Amino acid sequence: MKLEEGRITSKDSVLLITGFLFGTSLIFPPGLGAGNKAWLALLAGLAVAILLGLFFSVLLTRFPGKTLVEIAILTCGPVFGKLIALLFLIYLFYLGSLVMTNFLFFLKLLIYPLTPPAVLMMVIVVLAIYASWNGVEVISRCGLVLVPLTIIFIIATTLMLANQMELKSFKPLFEIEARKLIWASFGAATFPFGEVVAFLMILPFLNQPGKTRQTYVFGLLTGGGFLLLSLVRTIGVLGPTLSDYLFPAFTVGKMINVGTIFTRLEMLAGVNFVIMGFLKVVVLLYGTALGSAQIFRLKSYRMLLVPLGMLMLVLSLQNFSNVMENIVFARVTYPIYAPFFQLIIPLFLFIMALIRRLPRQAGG
Amino acid sequence: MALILMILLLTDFFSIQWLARDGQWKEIVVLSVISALGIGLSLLMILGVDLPYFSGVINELIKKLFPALYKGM
Repeated sequence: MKLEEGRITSKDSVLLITGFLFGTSLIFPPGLGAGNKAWLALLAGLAVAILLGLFFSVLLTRFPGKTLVEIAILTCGPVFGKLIALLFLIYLFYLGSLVMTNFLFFLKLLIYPLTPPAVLMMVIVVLAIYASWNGVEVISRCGLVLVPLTIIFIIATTLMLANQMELKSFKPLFEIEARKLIWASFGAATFPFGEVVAFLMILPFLNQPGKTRQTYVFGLLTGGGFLLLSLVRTIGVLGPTLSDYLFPAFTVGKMINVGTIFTRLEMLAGVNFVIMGFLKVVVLLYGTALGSAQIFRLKSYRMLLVPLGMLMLVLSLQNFSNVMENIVFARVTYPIYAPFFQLIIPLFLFIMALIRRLPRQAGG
Repeated sequence: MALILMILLLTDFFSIQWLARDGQWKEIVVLSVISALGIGLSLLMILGVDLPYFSGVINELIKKLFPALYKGM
């Protein structure tokens, strides 16, 4: 019995990947370790991610209609394969809890300081469970509605801040220590671009499996392009002081002042973050639940959504003691351990498939 | 936290009842294990047990496993 009967179109998936990339990156811009050269780090990270996307699409094309969990079980056998798949699912699950922690700090510090954190998170988790419950088609339609809205907000805030952007904020253009730029680019490649590895649980449900490659590439280019626009806007306004702010995109929103009519539109950045972060949590929760059901050969993944969502929530409350720990973790620890899940596991499965000449027949 | 605990217990109660009626025992075991983790963790937090922060644990692990990379970042 198939666990997921729904099918999504390539266009919807491109938007979903774009929204997934926006996720937390609209508030915690990638590549900040490079200061006002973060745009350079982001571009380098995007280039690496496109190669990664092409590789993922090769893997998916080799095993049409199979998720990473199924590929792992096919290529490495039921025991070792399930162990690898479980490791990957733990990564997806923990990433979901990290996204929720980002939410928590953002909402707690800037918007709802007096509301208990569990209540704030509960709203998002319940919605995420509901969206995942309805399957991959509903998730992709969420992207179809929410992502264009976010793109409009990004363009609107950029236009409204155009009067405050200065070219000197980007100078000196290329004067940066190579080591610093490489690490920052590596950081950008792992967060957020490498995280599209989660789509190895979603893209097998494309209605045209032949379009996997262009879906990955267009998704990464669209998401990366608008992230670059958002980053250039933030650097243009804040300049080298960019990395001194906890939430630079939110800070620049406060500076909007168009003819004293449109002022202090920081909530646009807040809304962007909340809706895109929600989309990211949905994708990760869905991937974890579906993968778990595939590992344990359950009849449905739906009954796992509530306990997994709640566990994700509880974990998010116990991830970091303060926001600085979160930022250090994102800049230092995450880029070290994430490549194991984003590159090594899929690459290992691909090599195993080559060695074992899989799939031999239809369905492996 | 009590709210989370209540939702977990309630949904588990109804899900398990529904799954047991269909004889889906494997589903019940997986659901119970995940729920037990959530319930246990929430209970520990409600009781004020001083749990380590998970990122701190991962940080220490990464620092020990990849000291050169950790310093480089």
